This record gives sequence, C-alpha cells and structure tokens, in this order.
Amino acid sequence: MKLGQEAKQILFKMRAAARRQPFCLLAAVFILGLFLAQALWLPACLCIIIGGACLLLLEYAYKKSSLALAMFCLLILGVIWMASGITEPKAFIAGDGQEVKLCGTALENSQAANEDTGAFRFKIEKMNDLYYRGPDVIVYYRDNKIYYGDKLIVFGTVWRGDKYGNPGSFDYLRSLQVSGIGGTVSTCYGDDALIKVGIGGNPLLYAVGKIRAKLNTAIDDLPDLQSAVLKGVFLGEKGELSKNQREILANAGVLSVFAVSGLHITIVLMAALLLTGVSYRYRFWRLLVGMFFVVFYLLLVGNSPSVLRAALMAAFVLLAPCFNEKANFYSSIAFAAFVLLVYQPLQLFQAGFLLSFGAAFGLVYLNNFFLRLLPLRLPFKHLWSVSLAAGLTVMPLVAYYFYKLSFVGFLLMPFINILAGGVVVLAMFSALLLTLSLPLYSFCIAADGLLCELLYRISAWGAQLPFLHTTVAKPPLAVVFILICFLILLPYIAEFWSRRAKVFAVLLIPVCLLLPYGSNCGKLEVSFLDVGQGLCVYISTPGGADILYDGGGSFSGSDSIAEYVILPYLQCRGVRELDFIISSHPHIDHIGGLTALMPYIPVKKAVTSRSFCGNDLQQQFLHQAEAFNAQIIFAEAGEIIFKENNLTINVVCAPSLQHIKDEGLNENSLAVLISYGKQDFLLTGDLGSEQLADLTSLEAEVIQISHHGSADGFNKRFYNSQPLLAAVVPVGRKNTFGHPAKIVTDYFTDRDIALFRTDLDGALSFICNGKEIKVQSFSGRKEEFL
Amino acid sequence: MSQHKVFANRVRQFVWPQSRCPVCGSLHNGCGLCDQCHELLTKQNLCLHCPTIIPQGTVLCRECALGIKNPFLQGVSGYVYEGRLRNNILNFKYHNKSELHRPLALLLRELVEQRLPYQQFDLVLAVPVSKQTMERRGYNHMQLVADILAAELKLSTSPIALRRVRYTRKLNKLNRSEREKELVGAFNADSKRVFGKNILLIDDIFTTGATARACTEALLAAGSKSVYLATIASAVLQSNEKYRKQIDKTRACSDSLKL
Repeated sequence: MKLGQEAKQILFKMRAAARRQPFCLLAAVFILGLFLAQALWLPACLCIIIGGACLLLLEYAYKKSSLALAMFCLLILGVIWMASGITEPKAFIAGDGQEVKLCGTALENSQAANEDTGAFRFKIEKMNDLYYRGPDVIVYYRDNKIYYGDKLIVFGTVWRGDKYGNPGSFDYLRSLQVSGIGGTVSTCYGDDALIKVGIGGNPLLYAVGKIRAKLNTAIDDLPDLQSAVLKGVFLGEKGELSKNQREILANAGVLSVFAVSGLHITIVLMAALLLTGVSYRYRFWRLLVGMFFVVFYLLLVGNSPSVLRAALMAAFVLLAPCFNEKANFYSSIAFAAFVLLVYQPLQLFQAGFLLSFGAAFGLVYLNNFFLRLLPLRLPFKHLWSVSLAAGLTVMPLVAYYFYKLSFVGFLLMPFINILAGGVVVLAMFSALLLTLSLPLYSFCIAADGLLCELLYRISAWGAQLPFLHTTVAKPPLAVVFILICFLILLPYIAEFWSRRAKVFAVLLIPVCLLLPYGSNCGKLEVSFLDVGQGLCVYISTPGGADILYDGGGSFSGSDSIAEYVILPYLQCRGVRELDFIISSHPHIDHIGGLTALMPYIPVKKAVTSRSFCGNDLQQQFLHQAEAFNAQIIFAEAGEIIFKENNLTINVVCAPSLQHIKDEGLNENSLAVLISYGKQDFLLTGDLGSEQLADLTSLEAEVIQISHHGSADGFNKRFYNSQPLLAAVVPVGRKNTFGHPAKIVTDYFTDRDIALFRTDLDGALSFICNGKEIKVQSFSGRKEEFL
Repeated sequence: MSQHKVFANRVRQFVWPQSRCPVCGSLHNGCGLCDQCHELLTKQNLCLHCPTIIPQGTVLCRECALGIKNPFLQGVSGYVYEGRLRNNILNFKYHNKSELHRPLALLLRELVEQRLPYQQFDLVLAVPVSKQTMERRGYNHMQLVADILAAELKLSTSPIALRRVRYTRKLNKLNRSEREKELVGAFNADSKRVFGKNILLIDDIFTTGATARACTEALLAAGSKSVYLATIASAVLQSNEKYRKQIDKTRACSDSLKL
C-alpha cells in the first residue's frame, strides 16, 4: 500500500517535471518515434504507437492539454520521418575493386590515417567522365599535402569496407554512410594517381583550411608525443597517436577529451567572451562575438555530431538573452537533437551521437544528485560531481559500444578537463595569431606542447593503476536500456532513500555491467569467426578457459584482422586473457592474426610445433610470444594439451619431420580434437588428404573442413568414417582460390549433413553441453539443434 | 496585433520555460504565480486609495488617513516588498536578470484583473528610466513588463509617451521631502499620445509614492483623463510599522475590554 503511494508520488513528480520542460518533452517523443520505427518489428511498433497515441489523446480529451496533442503529432512525425526512408543514405554506385577515375573537390585537409597514408573527404563531380550525383567518398593517398578546395583528378580502386559477420565488430561501412560517405577510394599506388587541376570550393572554408594547414605545420615542429596529443585534443585528429598510446588513453578513460565536444566549445566560448570583454548588457554583441569564435573553431575542426551539438547549444544559449529570456539547458539540448536528427535520423544509432548527447544530458540531470551525495567538505565538489554524473550516464553506453569500464576516469577527469581547457585556449589563441600572421604563435604552441605532455603523463600514470579499468562483456541492449531508465529515475526514487542506499544504487550500475553476459556457463563453445579467407576458432571451455586456434590474417600483410575482428570479438565476449593460443601452421592466413594479437591481450601459453622453426612467420610468432611472456609449448602428436573434468583437448596430428620446407606447411598442420562428453570437435587447419586418412579412427561429430574446402584437402574415405552432424568451411567472400570446391559441397549435400560457411553465415558458434549441440550463426540464418 | 504578441509570448514560454513563482520561488507548472501566492494576492488588505498594504481590519493607510493626497485615482500592489520577491526585483533591476519580466508581468496581470476588474484602460505606461540608467542596465525593465502586460490585457503601450527628461539620483537613500524635490520636473508626457486616455501606470515598488505622484502629475498635465497605478510590491515603511504596532495595541485593548 505504502509502496503504491510512493510510486504514485514519484510518477506525479516526474510528470510535473516533464511538463515544466515542454520543448525537451516534445524532442524526446520525436526521438522515441524515430527509435520505434527503426529498432522494432513493425507490428509491435504499430501496437506501441497506437497505444501511446490513445493515451495521449485521452489526456487531450479530458484535460484539454495542447501539449498532449503536440506530443501525439511529434510521435507520429518521428515514426513517419524514419520509416519513409527519405533520409536513408545512398550507396556509392561503383562496386568493390572497381577502378575509377574521379574528378571533384577535396572537402577537408588530408589527415594522417596511419603511418604513411593520409585520408580526406572528396566530393565527386564526374566519375569516369560522366556527371555524378551521390554520396562523397574518402580518398586514401600516401601524401599529406591535400587541402580543402583543391580540385583533383583521382585514379583509384573502390573499396566499400570489408564487412565481417562477427559479434562485436564495428560496422565501418554503415557509419560512413550515415555521415554521407558512400565508400573509400584507395590511391596508394602509382605516381600519377592524383593530379591537382585547380582550386574551388567555398572561399571562407578555403581560408580556414589554409589556417588549419599552417597550424598543423607549426604543431609538427613539436616533439612527436606532444604534437600527437595536441592534434588530438585541439583538432580531434587521433591518427598520429600510436595504437599503444590510444590504448593507454582509453584505459585511463580520458579519450573523451580527444573527441572535440561540448567541453571544447564551452571553453572556446567562455575564453572568447572573457578576453574580448563584451559586457553582459550587450546581449546581441555577445551572441555575435561568441558565435564568431565558435563557428571559426567549428570550421577549423570539421563537423562531427558532438561539435555540431555543442555549437547549436551555444547558439541557443546565447540567443536567449537577446529575447530577454533565461537560457534553458534542456531546451538547448532538445533543439540540438532535433536539428541533427531531422537532418539525419540514423545518427541516433551512432556511438558518437549517443555518447555526446548522453554525457551532456547526464551532466546536468544528475549533477544535483551527486552534489548532495558527495561529502560536504570535499574540495572542488562541483568538478567531481560533474565528472561522476557524465561518466555514470555514459558508462552503459561505453560498455555496450567499446566493452570498456574505466573508474580511473572519475579520478582523472577533473584535472584532465582543466588541462584540456588550457590546451584548447592556448591553441585557439595561436590559431588566431596565425590568422593575423603574428610571429608570437610559436611560443604559444611550445607552451601548449608542454601542457599536452603533462596531460598525457597524468593519463598514463592513471592507466597504470591496478583494478581501475577492465574489459567487460558486451551487455545486451535490454540491460543498457534498463540501466539508462534507472539513471533517469534515480533522482526521483532516491528521495526516499538513505545515503547508504543511494551509494549502493550508484554502485549497482558498474556491478550490472561487470556480469559475464553471453558466456555459456558449464558448456563448451566452439566459435568459428568470420575472418575472410583464413581460419580463427575461439574455444570457451565449461571451466572458463579461453583458447584460440589460429588467428586469421590477410595476405596484404596488414594486421587489421587482429585489431578489427578478433580483438573486438574477444572483448565483446569479456575475455581479458587467453589461456592458450594454438598455431596450426605458419601461413599468414592462420598465424598472422595471432602474432598481431599478442600486444593487445595477455596470452599464457602458445602451442605450436618444433618442426616449423625455419619459417620467418614462425620466428616472428615465437619472438612476439617471448616478448609478451607467453610460455611456448612444442606439441607432439598424441599429446593432451588441456584437460578439464570431462573435456580433453589433444593434438591428433603433428608434423613428424624435423624441418619442413615452405611447400609442405599445409599438409603438416597441427590438428586438434576437442572431446567433451560424447561429443567431439575436430579442428584440422589446412591438413592434406593423406594426413586425414590417418585420422579415420577418430569419431568427430563436428569437423572443420581442412584447407578452406579446397579439393586437395578432401578425403572421401575419411569423411565416410566419421559420424558427422555438421561441417564448417572457414572461407572468405568471393575468394580468388575458388574455395570451397564443388566436390566438397556436393559430398555434404549428398550425405545430407549440414554444411556451414563463414562467408554466408557469418560467425558460427557451436554450443555443446556434452549431449547435444546447438548452432548459432551471426547472420541469424540458422539457429538449430543438431 | 496583440493576439500575435500573446502567441509570441506563449512560444517564448514554450521554448525558454520559466516555472518558478516570482514571489515564493516554488516550482510549478507554467509561468507566473503559484497557487498559494495567487490566493495570497486576493487576501492582502490594501489601502482603499494607494497601493500600501495595511493590517487586517483597517481601511486606510496612515498617509491617506492623514490626508496626503495622491493624484492617481487608485493604486494597487501585490505583495510586501520582502524576501524572495525583493531579491527577484533587485536582480531584475540591477543584476541583468531581464528574463524575470515575464513572471512579473503575469503577476501584474493577475493583480489588475483581481483589484481593478471594472476599470477601463486605454494605455499601459511604465515608469520611465533616464538615458544614463538605460545605458547602465542595458534595458528598461518596466517597459519589458509593460509590453507583455499590454499584450495580455489587449491594450496598447508606448515607450515614448512618458519620458524622464533628466537624470535623477537613486531615491532609496533619500527621505520623503528630498524625494519630492529630486523629482520635480523630471517627467514629461507626450500630450499627443496621452490626451483624453485612461492610463494604467505600472512600477516595481511603491515606497513613498514620490515617483508615482510625479509621473501622474506629468500625465494629467498633458491631458490624460485618469491614471490608475499598479505596482508589484509596496514597501513597509518605518512609519507604517509604527502604525501597525499602534493598531495592534488598540486591538489588544479592545479585545481585553470585551473580555
């Protein structure tokens, strides 16, 4: 009874508070409409919309509140806006691998993408000498000397982004499309790949682009670390930070200052208004001066959702006094969200957009709650409460998108924010000096470099602290949703609670995120990742050990598979260290990913064979293992490398020769049998048909077809001898080898055995409780018991 | 025209909502007075003639009882100048909080509707400020209020009908006679705009009435038909306090006599 009354009181208070911010309420309803139209199954969405609309209309009928009617209209408008598909991004018309000649204008200065390539956004006017209308592209070029407004002719290969079907991997293509980019064009080869033919574009932007280029050259004179950090903090360019440095900053939880956001705009605005000394009573002049600096900064750093949000909010806040009104934070944020989402509603599902708005909203919404919760005499109480409020609001989102949980951030953020403020003000000042071509700017930049060094050192110190940052398993969307609802309710529910209960409620959020989501307790899981043409198998044992059998890798030699596919997968599963990595044989599509993975994740034991030692890739692998303190085990045939209750993993096939030449590597792969209860999984690597013939004594239920389904790894007698339930072919989309061979697919169709392919099904996980096996494919095509 | 202005005001309230009561500071839905303060507005005991708030059971304030004549027909005020309302008015006038004009205008609208329900007005005029003050503050605070009030009451207003022709010192440190002297010839009304009109004059605080009297005299001299005065608050003067004590004492005496 009492509980019911309290709930009623809370609801009443929340309703009153919502009615006090009608503009914000309408924006929230619009966003809800967008969300429902995109995220839910259509009939369910319709049911919810009709139900909500009925409630709102009832309210209108009984209380004659025009707000309810407006809410109803905006809800419908949101659904229509998203469902109509007017704003659906267009795809780039050229296909993958197509060679094109493009004429057009560069839309930004080229930025360092990695060590030796630059990238810039490019607006196409003609493609292959035909007029073209459609999305922009990103052009990769090995030189960094492209500025805004350069008219160029580009020869290059279209690449629309590899699409891997793995849980946890980032959909690069989609995120590009949402920001109006159709694909990428790589021109990294040849000397005549890019010809400058003139200058075009907006003259104002061109001038700002020149200033940015000058600023970049001035910053480049600083030591490497300082210039990389300064570019990151002031311009939002993270390309020059090494992966290691980025990892350190992410662990310290301070990566948010490296994305230009509300903090930067606020600092620029405050500094501009303070230093120019425009008095409060000249409201219109304050608006003009403030927006001049904000727009200058906006043009300098380019438009990401967070900068645009902050700039729109700044404009709205400065506009209020011109009408003799009080600036209202919630209205400003609603205005910014409204403008950005009407322009591109799909941004609603982008991490950058959500984090930026979430942090800004939480910062104000929860600030009062934390001010009351913190000890009375804490010094700099406001700084702490702000950092806690913002950090706690984005915590579920960061866990969902980046699988990270950092508590150091709460500790460091107040100091880092102040330092970042100093960095931005000094850099802005030197940019202005550069604009006016005054020589003093080098002093400013030198001082700024020192501040950056300090910022980095503090973060690095924070990242070293033990137990304060960790990787978490990706929480399900429902958990994130519930946690955010809980945070929104928190200030209202907590009114009835004691201080201790409030602290527990706050601690509940990280605890909820630390739970091991997606793990199969007491079950064996064997997952075949989609690493393109290559093999990577992740094994999670009932006892909780994590094992990786091969790691994929691409023939072009980059280690992107490890970084963009395997690592996100492991992080999203909440794997913090690997107990075993097993390398079947040293070919780049098997061992490449393993070698590249070791810097990112601790490995306890590395299993391989002694016979491969003459190979270069093997040497690299062993060196890396030594460098990262992994124990190296040379396995022999028949050796049991791992044993748990009723689970054994043993090597069933290992090379017998001492030294194996390059051509014999495939046939001598290290094959592994995982037996759990009555079920056996056989992982064969790239074994040849002769070696398979020796394995007929085994009885495997699930088998990885050797050598990506090639005809020379096919042995009919062996397969006939196995009581197979399913077979998996790890194979890349449109691979040039013609894998899997027709003879292989035909054999399994004839025998009526389920054949899974990573190119069609995405990642495949086999979950086994010792008696039966369940398959899940990432594409959702198949989910069944075998 | 005023319809548009009312709509514009609604839009402004929608986009930049203010929901604190200007008198008690409590949060409520919508701009203007909260329910309790609205109730208080009608319960205040005003002097029959001038905007002074007097104790319950009395009819005239001390000045009116003593026969000091005010040239305006009737003056009304909302609250005693104290507490949060005092802070709000000070912030509104001196500390750049011009956003308070909207709740205060709505307060005045309630006041006029409650206390002067049958009077007909043609023009809402605000007590003007001098050029120097205007420059210092950046806005004419009572004119902002008058704009909204006029739109809400469907009347017209004019910022130039009544002008302060010369700079005057701040009155709050001066006594009654000094105030009168300071304001002699300070206001000038444009007879073209006010001739034959019924005027509602608004001001923020009513202390001794010197400003209101000076304005009214200027308006009447320019030929306006009648002047009513509405102020947000009226100050409790030393003399009034004494008067209140006196009344209390007599009432206590009479009570004891009855017993």
